[in-house]
Amino acid sequence: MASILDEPTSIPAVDEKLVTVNPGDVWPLPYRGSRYTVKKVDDRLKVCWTRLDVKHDASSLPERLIKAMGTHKGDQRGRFMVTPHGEVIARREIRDGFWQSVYLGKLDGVLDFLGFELDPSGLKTGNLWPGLHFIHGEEFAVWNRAGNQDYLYWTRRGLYFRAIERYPDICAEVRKIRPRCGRIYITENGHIWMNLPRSEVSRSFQAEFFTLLDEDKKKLSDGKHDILLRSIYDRVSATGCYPVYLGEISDFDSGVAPRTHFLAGTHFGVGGEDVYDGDDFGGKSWRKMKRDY
Amino acid sequence: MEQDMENGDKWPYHYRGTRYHFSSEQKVWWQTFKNGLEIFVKSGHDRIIKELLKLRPEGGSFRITETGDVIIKMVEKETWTPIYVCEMDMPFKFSDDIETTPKELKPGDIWTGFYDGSRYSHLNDRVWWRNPEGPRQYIVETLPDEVMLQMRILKPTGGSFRITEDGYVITLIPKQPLPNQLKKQWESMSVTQQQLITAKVQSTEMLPIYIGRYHEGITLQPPKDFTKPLTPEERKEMLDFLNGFSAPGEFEGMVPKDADEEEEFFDDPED
Repeated sequence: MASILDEPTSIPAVDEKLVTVNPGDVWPLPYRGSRYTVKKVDDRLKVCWTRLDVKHDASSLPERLIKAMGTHKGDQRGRFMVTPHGEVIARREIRDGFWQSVYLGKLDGVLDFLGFELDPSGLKTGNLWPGLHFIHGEEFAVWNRAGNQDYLYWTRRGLYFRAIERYPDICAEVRKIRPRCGRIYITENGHIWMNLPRSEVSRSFQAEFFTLLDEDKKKLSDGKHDILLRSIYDRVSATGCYPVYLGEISDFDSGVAPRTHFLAGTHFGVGGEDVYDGDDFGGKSWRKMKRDY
Repeated sequence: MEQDMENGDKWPYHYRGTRYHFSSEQKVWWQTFKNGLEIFVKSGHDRIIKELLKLRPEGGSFRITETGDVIIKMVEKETWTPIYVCEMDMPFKFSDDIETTPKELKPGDIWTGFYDGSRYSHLNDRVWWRNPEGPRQYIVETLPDEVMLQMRILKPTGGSFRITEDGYVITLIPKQPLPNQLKKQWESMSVTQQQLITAKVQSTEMLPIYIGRYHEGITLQPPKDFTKPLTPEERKEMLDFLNGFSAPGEFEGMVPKDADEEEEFFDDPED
């Protein structure tokens, strides 16, 4: 069973200086990651994943999550996010209408949702991603434009940010599969999945990809994977892209999930409880992030 | 309400509506969530208060839906259950010149009552109820074209709105300098009306405005149930789609041109 560890984390803050953040401290980095909610369902508190008119309930509550929410967020219910480093963060209202991000602790273990595998083993690069398919994982873009220098990029309010380190292995793997590049998602359990439109599968990867797709379809057709099939169908319908597994972060580059570097004090988490420090999937800034030279 | 119900029956629909308070002294009032400003009901509540006190003699809070149904939550064995009380007979009249049934408002005018009602949300032409225990649930009915048109004009990025028990559709828009005609409306308002609006603007940075009318009530589509097994036909249709879907091929930067990941809103915290 998953639990929330009451332990500090170390993060690069302003000007890349490492600082220790303790449970209950303000979270100074972007409010991004996998999004979950604690809701009261049938008079019991549950961790849920929701999008539009879809809700999935986690099979169990991570130990100490409710206590950490109550103590540090000031409300046992509500949204929280988990970063690719396993940091659990939430929003608390410190005075009327003014919210700030707060660090709750580290997630130890895997959230368990019926029909999904959030920490799959034995997957090949190119398999369909069997985890959740929206707002699951911190979002980054791999570019093929000149000057990208193998950094991972993201955008907020029209501004572009890049991770501190370069990720040449991840970038190379994405370009091998999808030469025009696109977005990837790094989950709290260290898995990376990416968007892959059917029309942009590289010629060198096509045979392998469509063989894997046939295998996945065979698995999804057995009547035991209907939840996953519905979710993948929703993803493909909404985005026109297959959700495709890339690998584990520990197998690429430094083996550590990206962090973002700020030159000066940037105010993240401005807004209410439901803020997200990244632009919407279809936002203008993502549209302006040209992939070509 | 679709079926005959009596005081004390379990309320089988979604729990929503304008939130009022009542006391054992037979008083009924509305109050702001945070600063405690109270607006007392002067008339229209005689039968409602009698029915409420039968269920809860010590007083408490209740709601009135956009269909005019009075509902309350009762606790039993630590579980809160929504209960039907009665139907509203007539619009309430309030102290301090608060006007919840104005006759001459135009879309975009400042709302003359307090900001409350059954809360729904919209984006483009889709309207839903945000279920606190579940995901959003889309509504079955179609709101009048004029209401949706005004919503698109006055709140183009989508968000939440309210329907009062008297059938008024109201919403919040980002606060902005008032145009001249709204300045006149503001100056003609009572001190309490101005206090209500100021409190709302201060707590949400948004201004309550009138959109239009809707009287037909709202029913909800059931939430999607992913645990329900697919029929063989549904499964085949989805698998065929995965194999043969025609990706748009066209991208604008990082975004497929017809992508429709919708955003969620949090522009109307409980007041």
